Amino acid sequence: MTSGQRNVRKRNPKRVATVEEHLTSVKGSLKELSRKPNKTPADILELDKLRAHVKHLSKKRAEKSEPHGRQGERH
Amino acid sequence: MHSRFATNGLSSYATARTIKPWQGGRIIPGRGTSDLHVGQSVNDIESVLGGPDEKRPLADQFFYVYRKQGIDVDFGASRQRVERLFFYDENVEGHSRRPTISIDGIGFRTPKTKVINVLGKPQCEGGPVRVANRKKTWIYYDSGLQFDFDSQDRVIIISVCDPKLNRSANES
Repeated sequence: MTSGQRNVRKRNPKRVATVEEHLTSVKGSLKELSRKPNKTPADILELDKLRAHVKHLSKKRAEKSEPHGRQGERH
Repeated sequence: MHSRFATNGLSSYATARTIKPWQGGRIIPGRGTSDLHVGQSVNDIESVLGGPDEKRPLADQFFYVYRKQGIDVDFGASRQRVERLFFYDENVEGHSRRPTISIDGIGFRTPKTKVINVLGKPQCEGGPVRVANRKKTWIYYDSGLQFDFDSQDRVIIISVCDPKLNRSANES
């Protein structure tokens, strides 16, 4: 008897779509600001923030939900 | 016998004398103003503007920040010579007062349309991007002149640099 793939970790397609949308917009801002010729200190700080945000969102996009079999499990 | 050292003469040239607030001037593209321009040394800048409110090393740039005068000076990676000058409108990116500068009748709060009418079509433009809680766009001329605009398309930052500095960026 199998567990019916209950423990396979899955991705929530809606969440992935939202994260991807956000990631595209942040990447766009990053690209736009990177090509600015004269960058002010605030521009450089914003670039660092955007890079960190892209890294965070990329990680989040790849994240899978918790194992199905564990959902609703009481501790 | 104890000897006493006189330390009052040890302070640097710039901080040892009282410096009048900078009077401003007319911007020459690719250079700056008559007394504040690209290529000057740290001492030259300090003799005009005094000591900075803050020194900020960021990425491969090194800034002298003058919040009360509305000016930032970028000495670049070498930290020796001025590479870029930034002039800010009041209350923009932490600067409390705007310097008195202009270029062909263009100053702070001038609409983008007027800037383009006077100086022509820019070689590079970008934005909008949100920086320091403000959505801004910018235009850049190959002469080394750049204008940043707020969400109402009015000049908030004017920057000047050596045109050679951004040549590679424009080619890409």
